[in-house]
Amino acid sequence: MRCDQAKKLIPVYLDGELGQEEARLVKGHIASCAACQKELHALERSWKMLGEWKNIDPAPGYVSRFWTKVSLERPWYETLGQEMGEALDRLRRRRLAPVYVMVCVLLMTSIFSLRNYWQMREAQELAASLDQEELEMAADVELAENFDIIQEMDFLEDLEVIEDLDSLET
Amino acid sequence: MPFPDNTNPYLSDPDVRLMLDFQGGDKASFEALMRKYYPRLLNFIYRFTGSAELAEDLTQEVFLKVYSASTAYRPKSKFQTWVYTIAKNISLNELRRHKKTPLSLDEPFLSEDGPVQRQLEDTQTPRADEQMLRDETSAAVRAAINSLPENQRVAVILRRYEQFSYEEIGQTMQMSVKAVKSLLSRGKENLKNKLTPAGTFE
Ligand SMILES: [Zn+2]
Repeated sequence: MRCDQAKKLIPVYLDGELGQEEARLVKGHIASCAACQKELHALERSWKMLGEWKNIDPAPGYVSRFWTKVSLERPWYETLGQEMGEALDRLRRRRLAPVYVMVCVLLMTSIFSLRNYWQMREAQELAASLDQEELEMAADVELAENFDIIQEMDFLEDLEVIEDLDSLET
Repeated sequence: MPFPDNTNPYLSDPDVRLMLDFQGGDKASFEALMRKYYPRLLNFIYRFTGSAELAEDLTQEVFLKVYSASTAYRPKSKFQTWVYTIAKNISLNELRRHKKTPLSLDEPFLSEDGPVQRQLEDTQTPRADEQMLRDETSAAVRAAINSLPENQRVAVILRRYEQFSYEEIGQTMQMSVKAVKSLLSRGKENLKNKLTPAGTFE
């Protein structure tokens, strides 16, 4: 092997990336050539020197800084949509869906019952007040009749609600 | 991609798996990739561009790119290869953009009687002496790497500071191992000539 051939291969030889045959030839040449030995040492030395250029550390908080950038670059509804999707995914993954359905049913049932209860109370109060007014305004028959109609309508509504609730529960 | 998904060889790369988990909606996987690669990419870009401030911005940009590519992501290489290719391209674009108005590098390269030496003159101890020499070496190294042509610079940095194999360098730079050998051979020779000029090394 000639010096110019060896010189080209020495940098790769130092990385151990030459094929077996080439590596053998380079090794043989260096053993008997002072100039190429010098070249090899200079290459080794300069390569080692590169280690003096030390690493820098990232500015702290680079992960949160990144998420801020992401949220700034995307419209809010996309972010919201993704977050809701993620929340649903988490729900699905935990297999809590039946629990959530149960909670919903219970919630709706109690809202209906409460509404029903208040409407009954209102109707009772109305009936009670009507009794008093009947005494006071016995002459005004028409008004009393109107109150009767209102009273009846309220009770009808209540009955309907109760029926709805029954059909829901079965 | 000639491989159907179940025989894709890159699926054995744990970082590719993390990327696919993120694609499936797992934000923590993305953050795991960030913690692993952000500091490395930051230093790669820092050494390639010469500016720490710019490197911080560009590294964020690399991850924005990874993030927005995630929905259509299909593993066609190791994750490392992919993300370094993105970093290399983003840095190259930035350097081209600044070609007319060159980047100001972080610190001026120190000359023989630079500020460090003057500062240390009256408190010279063997330790300070050693530190001064290290600072000068570091500055000389920066100047030497900065003087390399872009391709040689990328190959040298990936090899010396990122411990890439020749094959990994080839994949990241989209070239053959043979081309990498020639690139590194020339790069190392150039660095040797800058850092150990004839005469200073016996
Ligand atoms: Zn020789």
